[in-house]
Parts: sequence; C-alpha cells; structure tokens
Amino acid sequence: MSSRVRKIRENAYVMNTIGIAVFIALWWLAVEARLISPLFVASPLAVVQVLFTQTASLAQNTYITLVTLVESFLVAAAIGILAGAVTGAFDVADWVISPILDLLRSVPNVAWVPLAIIWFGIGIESQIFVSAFSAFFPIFTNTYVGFKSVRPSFIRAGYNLGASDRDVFFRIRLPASLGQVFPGLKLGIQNGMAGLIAIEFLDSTSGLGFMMGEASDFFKANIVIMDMLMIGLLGFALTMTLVLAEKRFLGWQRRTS
Amino acid sequence: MAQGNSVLEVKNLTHVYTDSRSHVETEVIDNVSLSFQEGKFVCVLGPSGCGKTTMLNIIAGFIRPTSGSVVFEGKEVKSPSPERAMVFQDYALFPWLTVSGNIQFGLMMKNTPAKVREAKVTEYLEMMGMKGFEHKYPFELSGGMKQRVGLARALAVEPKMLLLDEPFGSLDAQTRRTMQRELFRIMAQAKKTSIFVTHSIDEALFLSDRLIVMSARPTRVLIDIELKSAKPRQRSDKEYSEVYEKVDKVITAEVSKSIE
Repeated sequence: MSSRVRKIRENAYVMNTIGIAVFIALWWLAVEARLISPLFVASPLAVVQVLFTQTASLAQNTYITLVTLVESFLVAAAIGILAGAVTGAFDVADWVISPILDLLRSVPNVAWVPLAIIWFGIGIESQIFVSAFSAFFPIFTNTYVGFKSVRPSFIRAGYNLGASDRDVFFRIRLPASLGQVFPGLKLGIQNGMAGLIAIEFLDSTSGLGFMMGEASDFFKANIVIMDMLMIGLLGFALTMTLVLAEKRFLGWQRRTS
Repeated sequence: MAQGNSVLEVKNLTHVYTDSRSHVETEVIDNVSLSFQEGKFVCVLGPSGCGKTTMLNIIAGFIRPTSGSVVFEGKEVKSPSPERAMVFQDYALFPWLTVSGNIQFGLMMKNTPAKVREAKVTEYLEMMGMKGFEHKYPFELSGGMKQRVGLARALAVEPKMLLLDEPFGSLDAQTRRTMQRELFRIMAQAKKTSIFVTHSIDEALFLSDRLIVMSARPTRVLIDIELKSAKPRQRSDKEYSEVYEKVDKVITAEVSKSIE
C-alpha cells in the first residue's frame, strides 16, 4: 500500500470516528435539553448503564441469540448451498424444485411463526426453524444463480480436458460459483437474524428479542436500545467472519488496480 | 510420421441452429465435407459469424450436428475428448487455479501422479518461455501470457489433435504478431495436427500448410488449397501475395453479401 493510500485510509478512520461522536453528542444533548422525552429515547448514558445494571441478563440473552443464530445459519447454509447447487447445475432439478420455492419465497418469513409453533411448540426448535428458513432463501438463490451462470467455456474446457460430470460439478461449477455464494451467505446472516429476533419477540422466554419485548412492556427504552446495539454488533461480527472466509477462499478474484 | 494419413473426416456436415425462445431456425453449416491429414496445420478462414467456430465446436464434440458426422480415427465424435484439445478465444483459464494448476488440470483428470504432472508443467512453461510463472493466478497475466497458458494446458494432455478457435482474437495487433511467431515456433516443436480458425488472412498465410476459406452463412467451402512454400512465410513471397489477393477478393465478396 502506498503512503498516499494509507493516509487517505487513516483520514477515513478519523472521519468515521468524528461522525459517530457527533451523532452520540447530538443524541445526548437532545435528551438532556428535553427536546425528546427520555421515556421514548433514553440518553446515551442510560443506555450504557444497562451494561452494569443488567449484566447477567444481557450476557445470557446475547449468548442465547448468538448460539441460536449460528445453529440456524449452519442449517440454512448446508441446505441452501446443496439445493442451490443441484438446482443450478441440473435442469431437471431446476424444473421440479424452482416453482415450489418461488411460491414459498413470497410468504414473509414472520408469517411462518404460527405454523412453527404448532409444529415445534415454543422453544429452540421453532426458533431455529424460522431463523433458518429466513436465512435459506438468499443463500439458495445466490448459489443457484452462481451454478447456473458459470461461463460456458469453463465447462467446455473441463470436458475437453477429460473431466467427468462429477469433476465438472465439484472442480469447475463449485469454485466458479463461490463469488456468488458468499454474498448470499452474508444476506443469509442478516435475514436469519431478522427472523430470529421476530420469533424471540413474539413467542419466547429468552434471547435478545425476548429481552427487548419485556423491556418494552415496562417502558425501558434504555434496555431496548442496548439490545438493539447488541443485535447490530452480533450481525456485524458474524458478517465480518464471513468476509474473512471470503478473502481466504476468493484470493484469486483480486484485481490489480 | 506418415503424411497424407487422414486423421479426421467431416462428412456431409449440416447444422441448423434453433433459437430457444423464438424457435427461429438458422442454417449455419450447409453440407460440408473435409478431410484432415496427419501433421498438417490447417487454417480455416471466413467472415465473422459464418459458422466456422460452430464447425470447430462440432469437431470438438461440444455440439452435435443436425445431420452428417465427424469421424476421428475411425470413430464418430459424440462427446468432447482430450484427444482433440481446444484452445479458446476467451482463454477459458480457470481463474481459481494457478498457472500450474491450469496446465495440470487435464493430467489430474487422468490421475497422473503428482511428480509427472510437475515435470510436465515445467516442460511446457519452458516451451512457452514462461519459466517461473507456476504460482501466478490468471488475473496476474497479460492476454498474450494467458493464451500461452491456454496452449500449454491443451498440449499437456498430449492430444492427437489441436483445435484453435481464434486464439489471438482478443489480443492487440502487436501482441498478436508476437504470438503468431511464438505459435509457429511451438508448433515446429510440438508437431501437432491442428485446425486453426481465424478471420485474419495474414495469420492464416503465415502459419498454415493448407488453407480453407468458408462462405457466409450457411457456410460452405469456397477455397481449399495446399500451401507449398516453406514457412515462416514473408509478405514479399510470391505464393503469399498471390494467395492473399485471391482469398481477400473472395472474403470481401462474402462479407458484402452477408451485409446486404
């Protein structure tokens, strides 16, 4: 990296920090000056206080949401990548599976909550079901598009060099599709989180969604906002993990600028 | 090597392309018969979009013809095979593999032991004048280098025949000239029966033992001549200028026909 680029990047970090600091300062002033009632928007100080007053509850609920989300995501990634790859690579699978999924896709994720509760009751199973279902579609769709849109000359070159159908699937279609699969996984994390928070909020006895719901019942805006911050942080951390994995697997996509 | 031995026969080849949406049928190849001799470097020339690439794809086994057949060493071609290795216009290098990974891809498909594969990679990179590029990725290479790797990858499977589909079509004029000389040098070393599709008359005259000129769609054979003079040819050579003039006239007429 040249020193000029480094300087620009350092400047960007300074700007980021200034932006966040100004936002928090304005928020704090607005509440202190009673421009907004603290009943609706707690002051930044009151939000930070939650870290100390609700430590155990916050830690436990964050942990539960994190574990449930990771489990749901892994289920969705496994099924989504498998289904997307098969549907994208084989026309027969495409004709059979795609219409069903197109139909299901139009149902909002939250609308699955009542059925999930009938099937699995209130608990971890129904949460994983709704969250995994929400994460599934972007993962499936991106993988499908990736496998479907592999450059034809790659596939021809593969067969020309003696590759079997299996080799073409695993050694050509799969690596050629990874550039599409990763954005799908990132969207999957976000959708999975949305589905999970919704069902935790609606029907659950634990997790950040549940904690928010309870705090909301008691008009504790500071706890609600802290929960929102934790949700944002979790989503960000998981997405960054995927970004690192993407860099590791897609190094060959680097472009010289 | 016995000269005049026919390796590949194209028999009454006709191909009609049907558009999958509009169902409009376009006749691309019209009853073409050709025979390719062992060890010869044959150039196929024709106006853009005339169906010469389609013919090459049928010879490779990527497409099945509407009627007629391609017979390779006595057997009808029904699917692609490393015996007829292809060099693609868009290189078709696998971007997720290194130069070495690309060159040995075909050998891996044959379960060739790693040591042999490594030796082949070294051998062909040396032939291409690209020693030390083993661990580069395709995105790090220039167009000319990419096509050298494409050529090395095709040669590494030790094909009986080499099919080249406008391999220098995406290169700038200067690199193209260099690559033509390089290909001439490499072919003198590798001595492969080859079919080279191009729309550049100069390129064809520079490289070929035999020249086939195809018409606009539906394509037929217009000219089929053996070039006798020694290679590499110069523009000032008598045969070069004679054939150039003749071919240029025919192709220009075909192009204007297809524009009308």
